[in-house]
Amino acid sequence: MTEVLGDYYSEFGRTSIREPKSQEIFQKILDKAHKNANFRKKLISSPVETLAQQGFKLPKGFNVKFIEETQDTIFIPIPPYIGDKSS
Amino acid sequence: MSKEKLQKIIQRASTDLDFRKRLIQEPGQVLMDEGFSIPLGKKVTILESTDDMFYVVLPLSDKEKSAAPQPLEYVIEDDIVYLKGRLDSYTVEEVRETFLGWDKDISFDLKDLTYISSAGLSFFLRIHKQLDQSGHKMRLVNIQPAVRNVFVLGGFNKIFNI
Repeated sequence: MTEVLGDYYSEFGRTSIREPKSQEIFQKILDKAHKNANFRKKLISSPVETLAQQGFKLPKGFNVKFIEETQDTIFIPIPPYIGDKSS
Repeated sequence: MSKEKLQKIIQRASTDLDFRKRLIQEPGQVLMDEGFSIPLGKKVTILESTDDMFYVVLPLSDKEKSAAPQPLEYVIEDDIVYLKGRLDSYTVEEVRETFLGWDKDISFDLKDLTYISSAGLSFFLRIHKQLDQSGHKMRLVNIQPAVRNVFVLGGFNKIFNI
């Protein structure tokens, strides 16, 4: 059975943020970006500053990149390679 | 369900290096092998997060999404073909095979065809010629104004008699 790759992929970028409260703030930021095109542009051009303005501070030295979905491309973020645990 | 499946693929990509490389190189193929189907005309790009940098994908708003290209659907009932959606260089592949060997009269009902590109025009031209040679007719009916314009601009209205 095949399944259509659809709308859920965008959530995977969020899994890197584990703390519940941060998650909540982050979700609000994503919702705002969804509705507000200007805010979305700001997130893309200066992510760290824009997040900080919204009360979301990234750990020092930690960076984030926002990618805007386009009509012909499905973006799938994947976490860093952590290696084979069994070996 | 799908979400879990995709999560599994993503998890595997973080532990299985060969799989990760393959996923990055040909994401569409790997996802199809894993049982996903990818909407026509869409490509898949993998974004690799690193230890100190992660990617977040911002989805299109619903409004933008509704403007997204629709793929093509078609239904054949006897000698009438109902085309729905877009006929462009991607979607024309869907119908090309089916109609290249066609050898009887045919009507294309274009009531729900919202867009046609030059690839779509050349598809109709080809079917028209092919049927003409064997003494059959192709008809185009219920053409929407926007699509009709494309036919007229290309001078196809005379050929197809629309």
